[in-house]
Amino acid sequence: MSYIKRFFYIVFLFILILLLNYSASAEQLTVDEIINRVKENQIEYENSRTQAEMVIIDKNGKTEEREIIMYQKEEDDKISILMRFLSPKNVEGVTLLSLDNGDKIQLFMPAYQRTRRISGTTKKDNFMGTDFSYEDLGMDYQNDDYLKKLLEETETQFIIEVIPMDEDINYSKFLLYINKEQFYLDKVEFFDLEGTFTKMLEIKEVKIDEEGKNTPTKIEITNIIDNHKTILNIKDIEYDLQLAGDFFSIRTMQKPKL
Amino acid sequence: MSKEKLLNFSKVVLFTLSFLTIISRAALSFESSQKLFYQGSYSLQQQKINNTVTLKIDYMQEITNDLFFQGDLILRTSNKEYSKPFLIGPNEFYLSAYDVLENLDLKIGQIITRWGAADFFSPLDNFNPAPPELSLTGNQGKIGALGINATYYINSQTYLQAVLLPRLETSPYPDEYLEDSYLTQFKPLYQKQGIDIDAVELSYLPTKNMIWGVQLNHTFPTFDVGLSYYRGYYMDPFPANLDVAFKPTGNIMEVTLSYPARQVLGLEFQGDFPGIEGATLRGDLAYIIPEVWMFQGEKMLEKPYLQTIISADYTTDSNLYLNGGFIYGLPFERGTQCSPYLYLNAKKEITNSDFSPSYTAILSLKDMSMGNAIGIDYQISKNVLATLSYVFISGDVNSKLGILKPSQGFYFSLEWLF
Repeated sequence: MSYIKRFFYIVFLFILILLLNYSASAEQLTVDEIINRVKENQIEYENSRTQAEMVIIDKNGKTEEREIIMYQKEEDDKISILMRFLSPKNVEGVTLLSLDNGDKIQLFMPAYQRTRRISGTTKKDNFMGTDFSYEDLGMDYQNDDYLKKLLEETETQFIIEVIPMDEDINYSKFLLYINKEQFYLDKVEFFDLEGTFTKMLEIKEVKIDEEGKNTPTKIEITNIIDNHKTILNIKDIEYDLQLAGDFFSIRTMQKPKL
Repeated sequence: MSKEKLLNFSKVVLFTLSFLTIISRAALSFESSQKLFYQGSYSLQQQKINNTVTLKIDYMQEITNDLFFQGDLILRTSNKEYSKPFLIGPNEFYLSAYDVLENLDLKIGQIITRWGAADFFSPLDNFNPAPPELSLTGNQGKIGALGINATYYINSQTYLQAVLLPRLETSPYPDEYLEDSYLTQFKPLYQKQGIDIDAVELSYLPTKNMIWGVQLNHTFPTFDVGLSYYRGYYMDPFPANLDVAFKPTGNIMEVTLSYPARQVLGLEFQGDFPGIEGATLRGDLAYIIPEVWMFQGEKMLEKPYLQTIISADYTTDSNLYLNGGFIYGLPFERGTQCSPYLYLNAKKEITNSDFSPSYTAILSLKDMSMGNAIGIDYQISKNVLATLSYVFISGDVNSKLGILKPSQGFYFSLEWLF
């Protein structure tokens, strides 16, 4: 779930970032206008809960399935995420808390009955064998620390380059592929600090409601270097839950039921 | 039917009933999960194979949104020396209640409370004893103790935790082991005086006071810090008195054991390692104030002393996990016995492979004795894990880590989660 949500965030944030600053025209649309269109097509919410199935596939085609539940909220441009593995048994109950866009990360493992702080600088490490890094889970692409440029416009997509200005981010740039018809993110390509294309996130399935709002329901992230893949199949999303003020805390992490 | 057979039969009946109870309860309303765990070892010194099979059943009942009943049941059989051949019982069972009062959470029952940021050997982790063996091949479990754990959240960054145990839960050293140890230690001394010791009898002096502690934790932007105070006892038995009784059945060495009191002032921290990108720094510092303890005219405990562990963990770009650090005082060292060590724990996650090799080492800086464990994990399926390790020790048999030489050998475990 967390991954799914994070993917959503990444997608939305990328789109927003692109839209925020770029002024070149694209079919008479500026970056800001593209972003506004993307925003208009997104569901607005204060917090959400996502349940999803995660499928991890190695280069030999061997698969591992996991179920997750993820809570997320955004406040003052800070994203908070609380994610728990529901299955399989070897990771059941493992809970991750990411605060301040990933600057504070805590991990709770039931077997050890205590939380472990994870260094902010380990954010580039993959989380629990998936293709998501801690950084991916907590990154806020909506802030202004990114340069955006419309690289290309095809028949179906806007292709936008996003360059992070924050030195703490372990990527040199992102390429965003935005669906021109529905204004949602089709794909994101990640480039490491050496400029190597290392990771790709694809929105494989999108649900569009009656108001034209879109929700990705199947997200795939591929580690290009290792030929390793993680797929998120979103089963359920709820918005604007009545969560306690301190829900995103180490206190909640230790509760046997979220 | 002999008394022993009757006892064994009773245990089997109890085991079966408990097992069926848990299973049926789980089927009705409890959420449960099980772990079947086999541990085998071949001791190079004893040239003997030890086998232990453990079934652990964890269960959880959600009574309300903020009230839970949690626990486990452990069934174990083993042929290890000094081990009980059959063991059954819960290690933990407790009620956990959230928001009992505003921002106050409670755990009541047989609980495990873990203090300290270090991954192992924390001198601040003093409420629950560990099995009386030093493991180089895996994390040591803890034994549940009856008590209350109350946590008050002052705000989202700060909380105060208080723990109260009405009685001390002690390290489960088997009497047979202690008897053999004291016999080995003192029999030659009495023989020099012309006294043959035929047997050892142990008795225990009970501890008088409750065990308690408080801890204040705060989360800073790059660090978590905790200050703590513990007032309780050592969990390992100390000899308090020794007499010889001359009885018609033989000469009996009567050893009285007890548990000295101690206070521990603690500081723990974990967070970004300054200057090393990607590393997490963890540390526990303990200032231990023991009760003065005399045995046969010798002061075993007297002055306050320090124990500490400071470590860092780091994962390289090639998924090599490294955890290393400095230790001053292992769990079995007290007072002036405390000495410095370095340790390293390395584990390699191999991409697209089910194998994970590992290496663990502890080096005594005092006498350069060393303990090593080389191992490999094999993930047979998503719920089945096999581990093979080889432990070897270097150093004189009387050196700091040379005393662990009896543990040299091969270790194999198989874990099935279901």
